[in-house]
Amino acid sequence: MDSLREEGVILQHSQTGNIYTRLKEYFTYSPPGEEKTFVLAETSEKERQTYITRKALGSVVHRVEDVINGAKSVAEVMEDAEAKFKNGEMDADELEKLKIQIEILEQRQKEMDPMQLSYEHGNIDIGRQTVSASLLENKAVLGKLYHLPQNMDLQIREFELKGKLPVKIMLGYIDGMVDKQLLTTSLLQPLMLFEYEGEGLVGKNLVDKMVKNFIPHIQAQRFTEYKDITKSINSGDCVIFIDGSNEALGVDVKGYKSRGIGKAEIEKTVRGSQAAFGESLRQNTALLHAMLQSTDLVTEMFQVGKINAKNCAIIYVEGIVNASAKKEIVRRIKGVKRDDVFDAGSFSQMIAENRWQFPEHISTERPDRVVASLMQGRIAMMVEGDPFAYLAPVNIWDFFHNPEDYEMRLPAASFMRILRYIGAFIAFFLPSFYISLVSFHYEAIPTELLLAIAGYRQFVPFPSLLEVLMMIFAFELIREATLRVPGPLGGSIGIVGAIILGQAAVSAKIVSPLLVVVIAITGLSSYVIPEYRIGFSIRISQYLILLAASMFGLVGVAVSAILVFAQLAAIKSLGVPFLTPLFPKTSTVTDILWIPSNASEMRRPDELNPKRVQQKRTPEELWRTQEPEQRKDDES
Amino acid sequence: MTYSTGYMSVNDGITLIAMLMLPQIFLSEPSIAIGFVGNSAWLLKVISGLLMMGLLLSIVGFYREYITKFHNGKPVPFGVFVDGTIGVRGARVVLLVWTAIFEVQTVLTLREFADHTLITALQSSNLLIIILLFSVSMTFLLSRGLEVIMRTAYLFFLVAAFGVVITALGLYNAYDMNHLLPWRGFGLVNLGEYSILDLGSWSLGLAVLCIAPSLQDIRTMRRSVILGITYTILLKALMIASIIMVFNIVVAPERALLFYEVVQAINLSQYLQRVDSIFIMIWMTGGLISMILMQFFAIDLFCQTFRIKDEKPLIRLMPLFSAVAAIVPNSVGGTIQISAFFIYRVASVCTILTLLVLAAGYFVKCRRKSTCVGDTKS
Repeated sequence: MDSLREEGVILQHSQTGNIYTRLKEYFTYSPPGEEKTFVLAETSEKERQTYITRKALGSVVHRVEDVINGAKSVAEVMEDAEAKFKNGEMDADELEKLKIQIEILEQRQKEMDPMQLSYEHGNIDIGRQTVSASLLENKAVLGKLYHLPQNMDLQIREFELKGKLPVKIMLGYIDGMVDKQLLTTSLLQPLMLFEYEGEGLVGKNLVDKMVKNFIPHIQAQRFTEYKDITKSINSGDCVIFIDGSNEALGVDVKGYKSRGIGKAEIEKTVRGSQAAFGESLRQNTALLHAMLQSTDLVTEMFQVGKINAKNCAIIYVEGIVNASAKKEIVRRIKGVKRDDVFDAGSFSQMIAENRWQFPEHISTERPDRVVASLMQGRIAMMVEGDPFAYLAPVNIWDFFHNPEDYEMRLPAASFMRILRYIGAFIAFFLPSFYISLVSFHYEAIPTELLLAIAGYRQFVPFPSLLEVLMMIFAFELIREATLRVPGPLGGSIGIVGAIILGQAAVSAKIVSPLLVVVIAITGLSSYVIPEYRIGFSIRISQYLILLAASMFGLVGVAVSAILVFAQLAAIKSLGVPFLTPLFPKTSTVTDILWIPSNASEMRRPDELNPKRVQQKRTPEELWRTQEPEQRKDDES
Repeated sequence: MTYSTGYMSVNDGITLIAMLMLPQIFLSEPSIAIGFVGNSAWLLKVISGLLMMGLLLSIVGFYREYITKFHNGKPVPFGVFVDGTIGVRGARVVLLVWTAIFEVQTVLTLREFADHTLITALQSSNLLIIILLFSVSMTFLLSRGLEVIMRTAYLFFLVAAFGVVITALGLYNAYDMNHLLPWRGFGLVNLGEYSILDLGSWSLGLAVLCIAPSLQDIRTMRRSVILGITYTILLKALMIASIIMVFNIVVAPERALLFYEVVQAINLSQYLQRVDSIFIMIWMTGGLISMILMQFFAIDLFCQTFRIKDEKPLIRLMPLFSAVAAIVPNSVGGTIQISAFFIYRVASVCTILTLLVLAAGYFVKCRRKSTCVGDTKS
């Protein structure tokens, strides 16, 4: 009893205390604390230079490590041989093994050639290096190329080829892009089960033997350069590295699902890619890899949820994405301590600053849209079991973009964009304007129209606000019912409901016919916005403006417009102001109303502060500046 | 406030200056200016605006010299600058005077806007309710911080500027260019005299110094002053010129709300004959943003005067206080009279005196402390 009373007291205290504390906080002085909001700071030119220098330095360190590892291997072989000679264990077999080991060391010595070292030493792009005879070295290069261990896409499998002198083998492939059954049966089984009986086979000879006898697969390509290897891995092949060989084998074991995986249902387009994400996270990341074939595409995996731990992935392009944005999103994900993450939508809210009204991440079911955003420097988030990717940082204008815009000719695409903005404006303001004009500022309506409205409204017994609210509510009911009713019935209910309800409401003199038109246009307008959730946010904001309009007419509309705009201005999507690049203005104000021309698109969005600002170093349509071949032939 | 050091750009600076001064054009300012100098009222705005630009640039110059000499070029708040130039007591007086100027302007603008809203848009409403609406909106925006206010102000500055230009264009068929000729005014001496007094209508431009630490650098501040005042001069002169060309000077001084009257004269077609209702939105948004900015700087200067670190409690209370004070004047006529006296007598004198005091203080301080930056350069 006492404890219950105590609990009650505590509860009462906490409630009143809460109100008291809030009131106290509201009116009294408190020293300003540290700013908790994350702001994506400007990347200075110096920082960019540091990034490039660090990359170059990394390459130098890498080469030094290579030399040291080579020296260590020589020392190991020599010590081993010395010990065997001393103990008298050096028989013919051991000599044969030693010969093979020395051959491997000779192969590696060639790589230590000062000329080649100095070439690779100065080469920042390690993707242009050649395959090393050392498996350790190859693993390190792959790790650097694919940003391991952060990147969870690249899988490395190491094992030994049985024989007199077991040879170390390493497979590299992207998870989700290969057919695992094919990989097991055509690569792992033969290589692991068959005994390697060749004597003294090393390097090229071993690779020949493997291609001829061990790999029962149609296509096996031989690679010496990493640029070919990465291309092969990125396209879904599995690449085999053999210790002691300067060659790698690329085996076609592609197994990612492409067109058959599902069609975009929400973000439909007439042209362009029709693919959509599925429920499998790995399949989704594979789809992205198939579309963005770069070693810089990184997928970091996190497990979120204490009881039901789910895989959540963040995907970005290393070298483009802003480092602090990446760190911040990782910090937020690691800071989520929930029992369960239901889906990507709720996960997006868990790591968003603002949970009210306007979404600060774009959700998309289209891999092509994600790829385009990643190339601009954004980060994608995905959750196992959810076919939607969430993109951040974004601005409000991005919500009005559709992948199809880039497929269309400039005037048509820009027209579509303008139509969407007008749609959003209508969805926001049309019912409020109607109420303001009908109830407060009827002098603004042309006389003929005013008389017509008065004629319609004379039989309607309700004030205009109630009339509008009833119709909006009916519209929302139809929308919700259409969504919930299964199959083709949903569409029929929507159409029949709208027509019958509208017609009946007018006949019953509950609403005026003009209002039905106003609400229908408003409802349609809210659906022209490609992002479903922002349309919803606009419809919710509409109620605030409606209320203000019914109380203060256009004055109320003006004041609430300021408040809504201020609300938008206060939002930051992963540290980027929601209204950029206009409010505040940044140096690349493109891609808002009209699709930018290629020249102006050469820079990535300034507000994202990407590591690489320049998107394309040369004009992308070089042929326009060149002379036609036909004319050259004629002249010659 | 949420604006971090060095985050504000020239656009923000321009918006700040323009939105503090432009919305007065929607109120009694054209009427008062035409009353002062007749047909040359548009020229009055050009001359006084340029004078204010010169004054502000001089203060910015002193500020630059001061921070270079005493703070290694690192921008300091306006309070620290005044404190360092004329001492603690003098600074307290200057800051309090400017707090009062911003606060009184907030109160007067609030009352004028509320009265005009009542007359033009909400005849059946109550003055108190309208004042309360504005006051609550001010509190909401002020609590979101300067960053949000400035971004909102930037959009609505464009809307206000667009409104002025569209109004001027829409009246093209009612123009009589002869009314604009400056020699039809009340004389050049009169124009010169009122140009000095009209400095008061530009006095709020001093706010640019209050946000100095948030601006990117002194160059940004200087460019903000030049461009902000230039745009405002152009828009004010354009609006007053349009009013004079439409109404001439006989009718103009009699009307309290000339912008609204002039918008009512727009007749584009059968379906666009009464656009004044739409324009209510333009001047309403501009006016509200202007009041919010004035209130913000009143609070900011008050906090600088008494070295209050947290502005939050004042942000909650000051709009309420302004609303109560706005109820005090008897009528809109009384408000306009107080406003005219305050802007054209008190604010203008305070602007000039502030410059003189700061200049004198700075030179005295320079003489006492080794050499000035300017001297070392030479």
